[in-house]
Amino acid sequence: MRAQFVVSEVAIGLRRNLTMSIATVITVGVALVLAGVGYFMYDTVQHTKAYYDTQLDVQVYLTSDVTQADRDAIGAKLASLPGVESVHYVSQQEAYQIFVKDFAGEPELVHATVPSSLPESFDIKLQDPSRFDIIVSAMQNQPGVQEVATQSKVLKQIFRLFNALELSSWIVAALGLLAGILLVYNATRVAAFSRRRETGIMRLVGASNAYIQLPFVLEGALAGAVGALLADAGLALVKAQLLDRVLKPSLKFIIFFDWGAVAGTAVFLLVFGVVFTSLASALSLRRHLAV
Amino acid sequence: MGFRAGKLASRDVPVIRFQAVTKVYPTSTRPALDAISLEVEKGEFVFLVGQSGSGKSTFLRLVLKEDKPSSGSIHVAGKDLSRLTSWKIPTLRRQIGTVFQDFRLLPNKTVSENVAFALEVIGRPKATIDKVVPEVLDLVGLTGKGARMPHELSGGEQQRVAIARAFANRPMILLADEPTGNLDPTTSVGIMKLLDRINRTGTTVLMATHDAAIVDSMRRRVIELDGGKLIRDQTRGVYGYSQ
Repeated sequence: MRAQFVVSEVAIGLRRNLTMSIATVITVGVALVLAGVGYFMYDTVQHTKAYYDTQLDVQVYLTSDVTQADRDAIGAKLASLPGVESVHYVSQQEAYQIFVKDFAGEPELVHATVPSSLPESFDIKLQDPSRFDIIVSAMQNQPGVQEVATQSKVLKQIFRLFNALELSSWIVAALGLLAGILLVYNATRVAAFSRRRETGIMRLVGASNAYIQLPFVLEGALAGAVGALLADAGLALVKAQLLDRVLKPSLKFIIFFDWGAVAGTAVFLLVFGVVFTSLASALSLRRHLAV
Repeated sequence: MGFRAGKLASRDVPVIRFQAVTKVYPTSTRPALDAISLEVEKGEFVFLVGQSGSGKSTFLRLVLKEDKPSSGSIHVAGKDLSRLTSWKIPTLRRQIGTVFQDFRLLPNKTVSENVAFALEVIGRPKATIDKVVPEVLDLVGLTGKGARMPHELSGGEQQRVAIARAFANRPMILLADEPTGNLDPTTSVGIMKLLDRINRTGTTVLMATHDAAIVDSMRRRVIELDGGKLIRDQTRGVYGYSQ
């Protein structure tokens, strides 16, 4: 098989059908970006949820000037409350260690924080997480208590929002991908038709089926690859500009995806894009190219 | 009725062998080919004659395995076509050169590129192609015209390019489907001389044709089809009936 021949056939094919090739690349690219964004949201929600799930159901934050007597009183009271599964005291040092571990992807943030800037707390696990009101009312006016925090409503609302965004992203991505695949299918069909003289002769003189089909499949694959690369660039842009500059500073408590996730997704989208467009091409040939 | 006199005993396997081959197309009532049995030996020159619709084109398509017979068996170059897997078909077709009435050249390629194309797509190395193409253009009488485009050539010259392309790979069999159909009588003679020359190199030639004058002047084996049936198989035959 002569590579030079195949390459020149692909080039001719792309040139002949340039507008369609561009349309395909853009459609595939946009669809893949949306798929990537959907995945990022999923990733973010999962990580953030996981983080906060390890956090305990209720946290009682102590004031910075709390006394040992106050601490002991609070601890005892909490342990005696009904429905409390466990109570764990978290010192500033321990809080800092946890903080460092959890925000390892945020070196600037960690660097700016010292143990003394984190409050002490009591982490409470409830038998029924919805009954945090027991703690809230018990800690009302308790000396040394700064605030009682629950897996807050705000966080839940944000999760709901993210999930909705994620779902919409997936749906639009799926539609976009379908459109992209249909475009590749159709582009291949048109290409096969417009090259029927050449392929007819190739069949007649005994070119192998692979040889005849390869240029078409490669054209499809190339459209997929370029679309995926554009999508990867788009996602990197989303990460750098939207995420790091806008979202993260305003939503510090959300654990967003990192560059590792972006890289992994980029590779996956490339493989996925190429495979699916190649398959679409091959399928189209099966139907529209006589062999 | 038909007879074949003085056939030399040959130990070679026939290049084409049809045994009771019938082809019925779903849309028609009578068979396109009806229990055809014949053998073509290596090096023969055979005319396939008959009216339009007699089954000539169907016959050629079956030889190329462009279609399957409804019943009967076909052997080409010693191979049973019904046993041939689809990925072996290209190999079969490399041993068969084809020439058509409408030349079937690629309009956007030069003469040399047209001939080279047939070699490129079967993976021949560039060095071989560069050597073979001028040689075969010489053989067909188109020396020096390699850079011309098909539309710059006369009908006869275009057919010579097609023949060059069909012959470039030195196939075992040359199939010609009405090669002189679009050519005037004088040009047709030139083409036939070329096919005769090719036949003398040992290539088996099977040519479907309406051209009575050609058939009569060459006096080769004539196989006549009528309504799908083989009605005549005559060595040194003529186009029409003659005893």
